[in-house]
Amino acid sequence: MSDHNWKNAAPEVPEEFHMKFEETLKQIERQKIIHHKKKSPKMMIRILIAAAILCSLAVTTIVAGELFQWNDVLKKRLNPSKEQQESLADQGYIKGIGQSQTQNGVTITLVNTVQDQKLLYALFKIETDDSISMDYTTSFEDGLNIKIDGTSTYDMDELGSSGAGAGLAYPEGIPDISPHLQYYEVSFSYSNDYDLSGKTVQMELKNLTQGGDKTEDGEVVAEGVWKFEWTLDEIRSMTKLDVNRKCDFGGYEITVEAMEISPLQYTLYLDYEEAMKVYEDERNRFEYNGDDPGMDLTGRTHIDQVRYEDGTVVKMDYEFGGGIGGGGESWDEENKTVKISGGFAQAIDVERLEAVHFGNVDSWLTVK
Amino acid sequence: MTRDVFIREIRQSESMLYHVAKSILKNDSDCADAVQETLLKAYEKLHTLKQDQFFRTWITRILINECNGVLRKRKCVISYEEYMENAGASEPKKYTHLYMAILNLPEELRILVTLYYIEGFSQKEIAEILHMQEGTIKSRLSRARALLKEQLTEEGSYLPVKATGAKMQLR
Repeated sequence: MSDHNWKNAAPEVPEEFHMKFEETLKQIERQKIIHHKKKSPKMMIRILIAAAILCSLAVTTIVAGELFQWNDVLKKRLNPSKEQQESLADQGYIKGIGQSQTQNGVTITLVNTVQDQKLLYALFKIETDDSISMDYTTSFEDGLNIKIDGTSTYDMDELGSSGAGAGLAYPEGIPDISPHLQYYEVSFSYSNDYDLSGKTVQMELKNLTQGGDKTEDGEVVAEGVWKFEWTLDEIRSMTKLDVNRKCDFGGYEITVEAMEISPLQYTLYLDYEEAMKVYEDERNRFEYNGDDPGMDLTGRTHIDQVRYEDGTVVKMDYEFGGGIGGGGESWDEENKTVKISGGFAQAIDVERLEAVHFGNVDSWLTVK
Repeated sequence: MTRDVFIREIRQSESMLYHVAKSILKNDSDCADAVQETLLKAYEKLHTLKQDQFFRTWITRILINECNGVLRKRKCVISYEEYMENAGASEPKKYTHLYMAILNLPEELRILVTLYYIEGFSQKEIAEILHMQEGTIKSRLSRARALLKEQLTEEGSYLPVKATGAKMQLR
């Protein structure tokens, strides 16, 4: 006969669960403050530094040069017109780096970087010799080690809330991908007004793995630390549009006070009280058995189309590899503003923009 | 709520979070993933928690949403029944008779039994968490007890009484 009560009936927390739990709490402890009550003063644009500084390691061969051309992966990500390919490069959003290092049979080339005032993206080409085959499980033990002017981004409170992602690139229709040639992308975004112009960026990729990264018990197939360093040119400020229009975000009338845009991403400035109603309802209108996962403000403000002044409508294709990341939410109770940011699935022409379409709630908003 | 208080509250809720996730997902690995996502999401949206006293119901709501999200994704890949069978089969049989019986309940009853009997939420709190009428909760709990009684009677076990730890022999 069992001798049990309800409390004792339930199992204890398993060790693996506990470890992941604690790991997550540590991650939260390391996170930057999400509620931004103070704004970083905009940094003075620094004097441009023209050439990238090269690392020199005993076992490493480095070739550097400004070999700018649009890589196919990047073309898939941003789908630029011919004019945009030129203008984005001229305006400093896209940069060709061409640094290359070889260690233990693995050559990694930093091909292109993309940047605006809240986003930093790097595209690497990985080439291996015959002894190392790569597939979709290829990764690095540590592929998110990013420094700006020598300081780890983890320690830069001035960036505000930040996020980073990295992984192999698999947009459709890239002809040269093979077991011995893959592309790896690193994307880093942040929320505060922090000027990247003239900053020196360092990225490290440590130990090529197969079967996932360190957290997924990936196996190291090539040891090495591939270090890259480059200096950013002057980067244009985001264009700020005073909108001051109400928009129906699926049953919520919210005033869009302003919109900040670059060709790569956007930030909407929403009325605090009206926007917070969505969060409140998300918390209170919980549906357990329903299939509708509900929509948070990020979902409701997701832009899937833009319209230009000449009436041309551009539909964003997020499904097949469009966009390079960026985005987030932040709340400024003091200034009564909610900021929602997101990345466009393709480069847009800021000068010609007239309206944006929020796909999940099927609403157009004229912004200019 | 400050970050330190949030982390302290979360630590105190660890077993509760595990049990709630387990009542929906069964598989320990999925539970860990869902709870991890829940913690990150909750911290990100901590500003929406207006009164600290509602922390437990608030975090439980987020977790249940997250678990349902995991289930929805699974359903796209394999059938729900297949997932649950696999999840059950992959776990070692290390549980008490009562807990095994709870795991055998239909999903909508498992979560109720977990919240009410194991974690001690009031019916009012559960009504808020699951957005259900208290009357529905009462009747479902009654159904759950009947099903548990059926299962445990076959094993000659007892169904405990909530909160007191005393036992009530099944008739």
